[in-house]
Amino acid sequence: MNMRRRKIFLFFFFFIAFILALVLRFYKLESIPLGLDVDEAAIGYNAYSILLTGKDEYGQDYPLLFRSFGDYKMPVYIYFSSPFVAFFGLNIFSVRFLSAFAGTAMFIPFVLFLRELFKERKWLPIIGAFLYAISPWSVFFSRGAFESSLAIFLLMLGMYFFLLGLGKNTSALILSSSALAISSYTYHPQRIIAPMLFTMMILVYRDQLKSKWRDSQKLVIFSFLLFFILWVPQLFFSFSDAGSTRFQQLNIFSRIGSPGKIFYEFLAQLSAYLSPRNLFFEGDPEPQNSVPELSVFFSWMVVPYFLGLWVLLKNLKNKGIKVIAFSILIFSFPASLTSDPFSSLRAQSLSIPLLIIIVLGADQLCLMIREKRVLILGAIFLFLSSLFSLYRSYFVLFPRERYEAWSYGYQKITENIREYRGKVLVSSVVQPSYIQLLFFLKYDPIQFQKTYSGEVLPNYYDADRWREDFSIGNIGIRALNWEEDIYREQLIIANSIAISDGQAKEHRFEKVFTIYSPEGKVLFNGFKTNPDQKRGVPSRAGEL
Amino acid sequence: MLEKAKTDGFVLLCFPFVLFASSWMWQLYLSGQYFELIVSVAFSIFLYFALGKTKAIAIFLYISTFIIFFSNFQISKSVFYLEELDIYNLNIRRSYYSGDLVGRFAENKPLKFLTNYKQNFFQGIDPNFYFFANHPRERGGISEFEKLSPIFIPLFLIGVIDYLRRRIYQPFYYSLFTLSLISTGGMIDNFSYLLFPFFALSIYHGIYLLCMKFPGIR
Repeated sequence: MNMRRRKIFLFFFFFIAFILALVLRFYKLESIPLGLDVDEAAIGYNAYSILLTGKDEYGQDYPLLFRSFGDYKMPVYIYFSSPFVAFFGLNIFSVRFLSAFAGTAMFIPFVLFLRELFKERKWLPIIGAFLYAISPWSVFFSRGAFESSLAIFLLMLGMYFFLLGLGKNTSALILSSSALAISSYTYHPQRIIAPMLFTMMILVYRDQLKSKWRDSQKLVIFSFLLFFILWVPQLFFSFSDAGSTRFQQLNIFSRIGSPGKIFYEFLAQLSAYLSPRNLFFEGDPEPQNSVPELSVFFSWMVVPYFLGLWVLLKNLKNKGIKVIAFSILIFSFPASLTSDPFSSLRAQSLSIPLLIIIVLGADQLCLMIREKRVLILGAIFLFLSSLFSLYRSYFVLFPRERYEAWSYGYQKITENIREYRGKVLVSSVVQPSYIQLLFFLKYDPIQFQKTYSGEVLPNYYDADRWREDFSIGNIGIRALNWEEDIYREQLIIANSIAISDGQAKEHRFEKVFTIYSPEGKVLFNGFKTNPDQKRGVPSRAGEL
Repeated sequence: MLEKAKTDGFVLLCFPFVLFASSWMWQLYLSGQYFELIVSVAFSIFLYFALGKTKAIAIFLYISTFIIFFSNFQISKSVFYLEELDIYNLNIRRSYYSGDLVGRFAENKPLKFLTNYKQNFFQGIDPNFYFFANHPRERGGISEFEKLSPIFIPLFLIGVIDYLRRRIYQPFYYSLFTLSLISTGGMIDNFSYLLFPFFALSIYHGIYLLCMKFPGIR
C-alpha cells in the first residue's frame, strides 16, 4: 500500500471511530440516563443562577467552591456549563452537554497521545481509537453531568501537550501546565492528581527537559511557574472547612484507627481498583454509577489487559511505559484513600492508563495472531458483540432498571404542580430534591437567593450542617409531619413508602395524580388533604 | 536456579513454611475439610515437580483435578442451573425489547449461564478474594476469610513475574485449566482450594528468589 493510500485508509478508520464516539455519547442524551440526578440538577441550577445573577443558588458572588448540599462542588464544570445553559436553555441536555462534549473531544488527545508514545506501532492508535470510542467507562460518565469527565479531558490534554512540548513545539508545555492546573479546579481528586502527574512527567522526561533547558529556558520556566501559580490558590481552600469537607466525609483515616489497619485498607482498595473482577465483570456497586450486566470495561478485555500488563512489565525502561505505570499509581491513589468500594467515578482518570494497557495488549495480540483472516474476523466479532453489549446494558436495561437511582419522576412532579397555586408539600426524607424542583421549575434564582442568603452567606465556606427543609414559593420540601400536615389544606406529594394507600384512606386524602415508572410502578402520588373531613366536618367542595 | 533449589534442600524448609503460614490451609483444617487439605498440599507438591520435564506428573495432576471436580459436581448447584426467579427476571427483561425476537436474542438462557460462569471466573482472578477476604466488596451471606496474608503479595508477584520471565508456564496453564473448570460449578469458594497450588508455588518461588539475594539468610 503506498503512503497516500495508507494515510487515507488510516484517516477513514479514525473518522469512523470518532463518529462512533460522538454517537455513543450524544444519542438520546436528554433521556438516558432516565431522570436527573441531584448533583446534575445542582450543577445546572447553579450554572443558571450564575448566568442570570452572577451568584450561586444562595447568593454568593462567583464562588470558588459551590456550597450546594454542603459537599462544596468544584467550580469549573459549573462556570463552563453556563454558556450551554444560555444557549440550549435550562434542561437536561444542556447540563449534560459539556460532559458529553469533553468525553467526545477526549478522543483526539487520547489518540494523539498514543501516537506520540508509541510512534513505531502504526496500528496501535487505531486500536486505541476504537476501544476508546466504545469504552463503557468513558461512555457512561460522558453521558451524565459528571465533573470527572471534564477533568480527565483536561488531564489528557495536559499529558498530550507535555509530550508535544518535549518535541519541536516547546510552547505546548504552557498549554500542558494550564490544562493540568485547571483540571485541579474541576474535580476533587484532581487536586492531588494534577501536581503528582506534572511532577512525575517532569521526572520521567528530565533528560529531554534538560536539553530543552539549553534552547528555551524561559519557556520551560514560565510553564512550570504557570502551573504553580494556577495550582497554588486551591491549596488555600483545600485546608479550609469547605475545601476539606468532601475528603472528611470519605477518607479512610477518620474511620479506621491504627496505621496498620489504614495501610491494610489502602492496599485492599488499591488492589480493588486493579482487580479484573471489578474492571471487567462487576463494576461499581453504586447503582447510580453503573449499568446492569456491564462493568467499566468489556469482559473480553481481560485478555488484552493481562497481555498489556506483561508488555508493561517487559518494557519498564521505556519512558512512555514508565508514564503509564506511574499514572496507574497516581490516578488510583486518591480513590484508594476513600472508603467506598471501587468508585468508578472517583477513579475515572484511571481509565486512561488502564485503557492504554488494554490497547497495548490488543496490539500484542494482533502481533501474536499471524493469520490475518482470523484476526480481522475476531476483531469484527468482538467489536460487534461489544456494541451489542453496550446497547443492551446502557440503552435497554439501564433506563428501565436504574431510573430510581437517577431520581426519575421530579420532572413529572413539576409538570403537575407548575400551575397549582395552593400550598404544596413534597415529602422528602432522603434526597435533597429541592434542587430538582428548582431546576425543572426554572425558579427565579433571585427569589430563591432572597429566601436563604441571610442564613447561608455569613458562613458560606464554614461547612456547617446542611438544612433538610426548603421552601420554593408555595412549595415546601421536607419530611412529612403526620400530626400537623393532615390538618392543613394542601397538596402532598410522596412516594408509596411515605404514604401508603391505607394511610391515604385513613386520613381522607384524595388522590389527584400518580407518577409511574417506565415499567408501570408507582413512583409518586399527589394527594389533596381533607382537613375538614378528617376532623369530622362536612367537606367543602374544592377542586385541584 | 530452580533446579538448584530442588537439589539443595531449600525447598524442604521453605515449602512447608508457605503451607503452614497460609490461613487457607488452617481454615480447611479447622473446618474439618481434611480431604481438601490433603489435596491442596499434595497437588502443590505435584505441581512443583511438574515444573520439571516430568510430563507424567503434569498429566496426572490435570486428570486428578478433573476427577475431583466432577466427582463433586452437581448440576443443580452449577452455573447451568437457573432458579425460578432467574427465569422470571429473564422474561421481564425480554419484555423491554421492541420485538419478541430481539428480546429472545438479547436475553436468553445461554447468556445467563455465561454470566454465572463469568461471576465465578472473575471471582477466581480477584486478588482481593485471596489476600483481603474479598474486602472491600464482601459478598452478602458468605463468611469471607483471608486465604493468604497480604504480606505474601510482593512474594507472589515476584514469583509470578519470574515464572513469566523464564517462560515457565506450567503453573499458569494449570491454574487456568482449574479455574476454567471450577467456574462451571456452583460457588467458586467450594472448589477454590484447587487453586492453592498455584499460589503456594508462586509464593515459594518468590521467597526463594528473595533468599538468593541474601546468601547469609540461606
